[in-house]
Amino acid sequence: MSLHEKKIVPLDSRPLASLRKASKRYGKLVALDAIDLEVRAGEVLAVLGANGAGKSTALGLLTGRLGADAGEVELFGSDPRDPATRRGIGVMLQEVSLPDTLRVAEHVRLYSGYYPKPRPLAETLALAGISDIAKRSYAELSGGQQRRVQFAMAICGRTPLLFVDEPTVGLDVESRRNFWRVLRQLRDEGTGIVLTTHYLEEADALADRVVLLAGGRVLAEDTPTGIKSRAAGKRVRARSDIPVAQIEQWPEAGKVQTSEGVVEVRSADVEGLLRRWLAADAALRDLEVRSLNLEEAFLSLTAPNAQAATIATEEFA
Amino acid sequence: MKILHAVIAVSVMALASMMYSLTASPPEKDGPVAAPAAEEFIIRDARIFDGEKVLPRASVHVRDGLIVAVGVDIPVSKDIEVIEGAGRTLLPGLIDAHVHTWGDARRDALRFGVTTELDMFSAHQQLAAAKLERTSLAATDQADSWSAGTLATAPGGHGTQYGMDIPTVSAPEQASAWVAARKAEGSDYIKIVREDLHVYTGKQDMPTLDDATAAALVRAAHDQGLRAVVHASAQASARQVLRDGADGLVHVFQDAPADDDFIALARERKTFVVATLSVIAGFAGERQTLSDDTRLVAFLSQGQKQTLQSRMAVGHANPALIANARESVRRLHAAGVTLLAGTDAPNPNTAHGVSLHQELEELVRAGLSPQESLAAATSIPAKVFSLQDRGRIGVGLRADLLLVEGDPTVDITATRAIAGIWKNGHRVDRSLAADKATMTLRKGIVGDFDAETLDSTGKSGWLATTDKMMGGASTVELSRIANGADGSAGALRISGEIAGGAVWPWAGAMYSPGATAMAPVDAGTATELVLHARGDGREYSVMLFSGAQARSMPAMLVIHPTAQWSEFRLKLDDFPGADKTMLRAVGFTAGAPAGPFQVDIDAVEIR
Amino acid sequence: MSTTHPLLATMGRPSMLRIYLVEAGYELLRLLRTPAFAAPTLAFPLVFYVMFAIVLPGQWGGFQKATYLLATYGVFGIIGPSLFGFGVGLAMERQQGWLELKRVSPMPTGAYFFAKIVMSLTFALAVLLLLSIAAIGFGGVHISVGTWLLLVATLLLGTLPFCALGLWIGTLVKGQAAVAVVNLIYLPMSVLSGLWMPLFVFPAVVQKLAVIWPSWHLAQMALGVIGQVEHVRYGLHAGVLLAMTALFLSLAALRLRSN
Repeated sequence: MSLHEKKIVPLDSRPLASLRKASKRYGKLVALDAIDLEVRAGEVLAVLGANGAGKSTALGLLTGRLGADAGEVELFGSDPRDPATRRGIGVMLQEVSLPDTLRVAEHVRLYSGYYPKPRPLAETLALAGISDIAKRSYAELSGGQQRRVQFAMAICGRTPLLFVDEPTVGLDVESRRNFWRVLRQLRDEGTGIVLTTHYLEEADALADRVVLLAGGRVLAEDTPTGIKSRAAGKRVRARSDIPVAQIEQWPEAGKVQTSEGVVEVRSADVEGLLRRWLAADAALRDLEVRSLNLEEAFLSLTAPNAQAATIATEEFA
Repeated sequence: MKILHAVIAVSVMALASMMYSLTASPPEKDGPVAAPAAEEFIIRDARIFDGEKVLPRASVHVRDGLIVAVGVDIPVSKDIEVIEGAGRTLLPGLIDAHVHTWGDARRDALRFGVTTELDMFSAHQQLAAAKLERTSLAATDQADSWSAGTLATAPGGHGTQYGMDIPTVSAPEQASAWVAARKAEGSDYIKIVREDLHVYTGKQDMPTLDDATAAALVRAAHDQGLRAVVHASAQASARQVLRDGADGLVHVFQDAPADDDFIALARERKTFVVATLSVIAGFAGERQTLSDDTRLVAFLSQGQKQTLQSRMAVGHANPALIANARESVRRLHAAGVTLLAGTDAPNPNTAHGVSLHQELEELVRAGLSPQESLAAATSIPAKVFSLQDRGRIGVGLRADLLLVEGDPTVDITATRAIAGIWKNGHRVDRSLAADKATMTLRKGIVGDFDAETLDSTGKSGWLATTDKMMGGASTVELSRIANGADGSAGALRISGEIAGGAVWPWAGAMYSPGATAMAPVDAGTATELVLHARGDGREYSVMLFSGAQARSMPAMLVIHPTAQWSEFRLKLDDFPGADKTMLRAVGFTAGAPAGPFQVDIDAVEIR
Repeated sequence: MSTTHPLLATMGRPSMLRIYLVEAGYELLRLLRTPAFAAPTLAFPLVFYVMFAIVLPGQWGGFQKATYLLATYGVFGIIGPSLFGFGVGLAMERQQGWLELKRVSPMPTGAYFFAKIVMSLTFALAVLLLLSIAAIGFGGVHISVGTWLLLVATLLLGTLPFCALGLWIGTLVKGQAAVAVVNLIYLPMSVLSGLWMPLFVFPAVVQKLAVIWPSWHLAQMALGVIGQVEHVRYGLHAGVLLAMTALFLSLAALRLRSN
């Protein structure tokens, strides 16, 4: 489902949008600290991170809503703060309410007018799955329908680059999968898509590349394959008398570390590890079994000198 | 960001200074309700005729130009001035429903308790100023005026013989545009003339509007929202005019008493009639008795005395005219046709203000009760002409009041015993401006401008004068320039801009020879006004302000100064209507058209 | 330094005129469909005018009440759409994220303000027409066509300072709070600047303070045009209104930039 045949589309190899050592500060708070990021045509870049990690700020810089305090922001080689540059992007934001006295088709028509060569209205409505409610006024729509209208406005411009911010929050499974289908279709047509999400599964299903932000920095960049392998496995913590060196020898144990008398063992085979450990140490106490969280999964990716590495797209050739 | 901060700072400072300058001359000045009129008083326990009915005993409380209370027992605070009304009658300020105003007319009217006049033909240039004045509650020495402006007459017809060049109407198609032009000038109603003089001379001695054109004018007036009133001296024309739908007649016709046909038509059409018996009595050879009435004489001006004494030029004095008119009034009144009191002042045998008292008496003689006669000069004209704020004594109405000794609702001539007149809630000073020239003019140069500063032989010197006092916006600046006429050291430069939009724009300079501005001097032995002038191609007016009243219209001559200094000699006797024995000021002004002007004058001399 | 990516360079440009006009059209349409805005904006001044100027009896001495009030209610009427359209409009759109969505779109910034100005002018004109019909048709007001056109022009131009004021309010508060703030300013300002009743019925203090209200300045100009007040200092009043417009616009710009 995630790895697929990709059409090879002859493209300019320059990224559609990029941040180079971009920083943004709000008073004392550093929202983004010299981060690098780029998105190319025909790829879905998922930007992951907890709230406050800097996703919205990064999105704000790329869409021209904010200006960087340091570093470079490029959108199609120009400044995204110039409205003309934004003719190349469609954006879907979170928590937006549109004027509710206008009808669905009217919203899409108005927004399409901003673009030089928008999709025909019928096509946009069909892609977003709102053809049947085109004549309804926005006030009458359910939450999910409203999201689809906003999506329609994002894609109506037939733009080479799309930004979608937490698009499937609150949607049911069926709607979410429909949505992914459309995004994939767009990506196959050559559209670059920047997707922010905190659903690992979504990133997994759609992304060609994933960037993890935390505390305003890029913690790691990898492909979904990379995520999957790291995200597998769990973390087992306990106080034990068995020396660490011995635990490390066990076949079920992955990385082992200890702090303040608590031993933490990564393991792909938690049951096996537990059987051995309990058998070896009758005085095992404070036992805790947890899945890897996102941060831990990616932390494990980072090389010793803590630099994020970009995986070349040749992998997918 | 810096620019924004700068803009904010600049705009805040600009606002502060502009607002300060506006408060320095308080906002009240910008409204027609000018200075807060401090006048407050109560007329206590008078008999009151409120325009419609009699209150045997009541008090009226006036404040800030309006009547704020009318009642039997009005609470009186100690600080308010009280005017005793016992033994007296309070009337609404009188309304004369047919006059012609110019010069001191409205001033004369007010001196006799006539606080509003309905003008039936006069110079349209006065209209705008009159409109503004009648909405104001400021103290004034003139009656308010509504006006027809220019009357509608045929080419060569009645109205064209007074020396004013007026637009006439010769065909029905012209009616609409003619009425529109009057409306634009500010006419409050349209007056239409049907007069060929046959009633007076026996034959058709004057061109007049034909039936079709007169009818078209009435229609056009109504279409454009104006009332149409008609001058018709013959019953046949009057009848025709009623059929055309005219709102009223401004005279009662004189060739025959009103017949049943006419009366029925007038009742059906609800037409009103302004009797003007005072002037018709003059046509008929009768003489008024006002100028012998001791109650009135002291307040009559020279001008009023003159017109009261003068006689009509047209035809022979024909007693039938007044007899017919009086009989018509009697019949019309009996039939319930609306009658208004009007004098046609200042035609011969009449004068502004004072004649209305005679008219009231005439109406009573013709059969109206004194109360009905008083109503014909107060509430009825106010209602007929929609004068919303006057004509009655009531709360919220304008405080135009006339207090007389005795009871005019019993003896109509009691209106002449005037105890007090209030206009806009201010007491009217009835004394005649008895200016006498105390100084004799010292003949000679009144302005050579050779000194470094502007000076002249008169103490009050040269002043700027503009149409601002009439609501205009023209500007002028006086400055002394070097190199005057004939190589003299200096000259006076009068420069500025005439602003369009004022009814009669002017701006220029004025020189007053007297001790104070406009104080009269006796220049009776002088013959000439000489000056040197250098101009810009425009026409300039030289004006002599003179006469008994300080504010009367000046006599004017025009000069056309060229680009070179040239001498102008104007004979004082050539100034039409000037009174050399009461010379008040000499003026040099530019007038229409709008635009910048500049004229230099030097070596001004009265010899 | 950077050259435009070919994908953008080949995109072309939509018609600016069309964008401006369509933006204005939809702004007008959506407000016309909002009874909570359209109805009070149009009806309130008209109903009050009919009540105070035409129906209720009472003389004002020398004033021609219906004509005087046509000018002042005209001012009252045009302030509504400007203050609410810009003030509440901007505040709500900021809160709802609608403004955000427009900021990330290629819509030129001018189109947003153009649309709001066209909307206020259209509503203002509608209010003035309604008032004029009432005044001339039922109130007995007589004014020449030229005077009426001049009055309308003066009042329409006079919407600008209130658009600017509304804009500034819209940057200060968000959402529904703006409705309350705008009303707190609109109604007292209208009363204290003599729009409902002429100032002479108020104590002298109020009359002196009238200079601080932009509505008072505009009312003076309107009254002068319609011939009810003499010696109006148009230049000074226009200067005050212009300075206020510049001030409010700058304050609004400051707040929008720092957002």
